[in-house]
Amino acid sequence: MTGPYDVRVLLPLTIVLIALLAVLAIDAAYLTARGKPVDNPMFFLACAAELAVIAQLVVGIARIGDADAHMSKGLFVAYLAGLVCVLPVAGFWGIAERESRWGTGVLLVATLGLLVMVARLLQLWNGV
Amino acid sequence: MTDTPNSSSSKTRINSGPGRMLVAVYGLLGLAATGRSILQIAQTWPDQHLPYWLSAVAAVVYLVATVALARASARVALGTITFELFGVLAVGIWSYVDKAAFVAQGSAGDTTVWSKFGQGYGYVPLILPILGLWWLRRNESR
Repeated sequence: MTGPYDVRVLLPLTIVLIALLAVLAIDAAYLTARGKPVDNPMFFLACAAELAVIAQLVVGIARIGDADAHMSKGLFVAYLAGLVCVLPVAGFWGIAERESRWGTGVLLVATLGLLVMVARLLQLWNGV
Repeated sequence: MTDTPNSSSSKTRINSGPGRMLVAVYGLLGLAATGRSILQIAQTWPDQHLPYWLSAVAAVVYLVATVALARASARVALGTITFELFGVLAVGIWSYVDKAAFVAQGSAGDTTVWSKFGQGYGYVPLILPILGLWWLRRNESR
């Protein structure tokens, strides 16, 4: 089901993506709990996560033929495209909301949502 | 979009403070439900499946609730979220009682956002309207 390309490129990419999102979620939860707005490290972390999401979009579409044969390709691409939109929207919102802790709260919601979507994406890829 | 912090009232406007997170969750669910229903309906067109249209209803409800919460339209938000709660309860019960209506041919157990009380979405669709109504009630303008 998974060729050598998957193991060398898709797997590491997915691990990096999930790790970045997990760190971002923890950071967002911490800042929200402390009542702090978006800070620079968080901004760069979010940028890195967004880059990984974009990489996932490109690689995912390029290697769509390697996925489980039963996978709905339209749904898969829709997920990939939807994922790309979430962080910029939440990010701009979070930065606009700098005077309160709830900017980071929004980012926390967005990041947790992204983690769920990535998990669903992996299920789709493997034909679940 | 111009949010001036209102220190005049001890109550929080429904679109500020933690309300922002509520807007974010509604927005995310709106995105998910919209994408899902459009794809479900488009991919099986012209076959009609009840669950897919229920997804579309849920999508509209989430989008209206998102906008209403974001713009602090308490009455619209109250109406939509109340409908949402009844919707998720009704569809949830329905999906257990009449399982056949919620199994679409060819799409592995594909159902709808609200079937089995939103199980596929970690029961967020069930908890969210309760949370939303509580939030509206807490910040009710008297």
